[in-house]
Amino acid sequence: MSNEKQNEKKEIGKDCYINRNCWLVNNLNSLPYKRCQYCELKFRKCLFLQYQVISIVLLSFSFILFYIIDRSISVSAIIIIFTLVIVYGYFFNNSTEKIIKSNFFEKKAKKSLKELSDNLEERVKEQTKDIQKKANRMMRLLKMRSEFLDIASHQLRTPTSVIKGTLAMLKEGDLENMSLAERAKFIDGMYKKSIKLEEIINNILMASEMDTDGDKAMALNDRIDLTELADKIIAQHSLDAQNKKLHLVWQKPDEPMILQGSLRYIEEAINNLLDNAIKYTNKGSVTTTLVKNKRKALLTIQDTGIGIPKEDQNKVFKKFIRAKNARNAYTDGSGLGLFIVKEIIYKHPGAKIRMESKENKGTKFNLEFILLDNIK
Amino acid sequence: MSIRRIKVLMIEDDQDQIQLYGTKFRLEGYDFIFGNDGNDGLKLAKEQNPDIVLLDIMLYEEDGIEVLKKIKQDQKTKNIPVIIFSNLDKKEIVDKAFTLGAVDYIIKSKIVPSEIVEKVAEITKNKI
Repeated sequence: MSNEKQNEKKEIGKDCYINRNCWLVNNLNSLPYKRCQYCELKFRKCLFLQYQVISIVLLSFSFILFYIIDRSISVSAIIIIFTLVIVYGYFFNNSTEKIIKSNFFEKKAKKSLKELSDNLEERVKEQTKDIQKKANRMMRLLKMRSEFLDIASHQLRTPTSVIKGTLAMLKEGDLENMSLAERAKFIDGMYKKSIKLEEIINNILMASEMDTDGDKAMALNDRIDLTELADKIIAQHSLDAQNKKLHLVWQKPDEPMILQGSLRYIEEAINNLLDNAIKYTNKGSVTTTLVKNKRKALLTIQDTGIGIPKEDQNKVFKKFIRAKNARNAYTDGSGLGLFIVKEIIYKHPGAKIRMESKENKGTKFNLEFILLDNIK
Repeated sequence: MSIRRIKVLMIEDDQDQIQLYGTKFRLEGYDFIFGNDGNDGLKLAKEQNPDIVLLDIMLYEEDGIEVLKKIKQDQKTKNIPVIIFSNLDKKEIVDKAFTLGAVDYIIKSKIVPSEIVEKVAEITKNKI
């Protein structure tokens, strides 16, 4: 670094510059004239040296001429010749300095112009790259949006078509030709699809909220007691579990666990996980535990359900992706549930989500939150 | 001699829709069979020789377009008219379906069950 700085100081145009091309300067190791700091020429090309050589030649020539013509050299001739040499020398010395300086500045200007144009080219290139990158991103977003619309509209139309179809048959009197049991099955199917429709609408709205919010931070102003919240959500699911004859186990801790975040979203995340656990478990249990580990709260939801096949485990957190066996179990899921959960967790600083699953054995989700008392 | 009943094969993975359209077709006097996925549907198309196929696009495991391709490639099934009956409304898919030989592309949510029955009746009218 210091070496570089030294070299910079010794650059042409600086006081301590030594022109290593010049024999004289190199041997003296100092500058005989001020203008030498602007010069890069070799000693034999030095303008002043050339002047001196020519002066000596002219001087000798003049004396020889005088001697040939007059057979003697008068004092006045010597004075006149030396005066001329000195006066010319003075002016020549001045103009040499000007020439060398102007050469130097011209060179410098050319160099900086070249640098500027090179730089400009580079900057244009850089900016073009940047624009290209942005355009690519925009294209990707547009493609994602169109995919989103395709799938979202498909998901919305599916329950709609069943509800509409059933109502049309009811209107056209088809239901009168059916047995009571068939009719009940029909109405139940329509009712289930209407609930599904609401669920899909909510999920699509929530997912698009996650998307449009993008990097914007979620408002995390609520003081949440995780113990109380989990207690409430689990109570809401007891009927669903009962209907499927599943054991809904809740190992409730004795203490409150306070964290800061968005109550609405955390509730949505836990709700989604518990919904899935019950939906994709046909027998056995869904167990929720909540424990405190130093400054963290660990919420675990474990089921004994169909599990997630290994090849699908990396994909299920993506939008509209559902595991194969989940699609087989329920054809009309939105494929947005786990995407929403992941987005919510990631928007809470320090919060984490982990998943372990084995096909036909069950799935375990771990949610980790930083507790408030330790955030301060 | 009784009039031959038209046999409709629906390839569809959603049970609620099978129940809905199946009931309607049976009430209207059709034979209704269904396959839950592409393989199942192709097998039924070969074995049962249906008069018409109603094919969904977003199927479990296999894309309906692939199933259509296979139906049209097989000597046994290539002459069975196929109506794409889906909720996916995407121009590329619609164009592809027609190129591959689908007779129609119907969006489920845009019609009611009696209309799909009418459509099927129209396409199969010279088969009775």
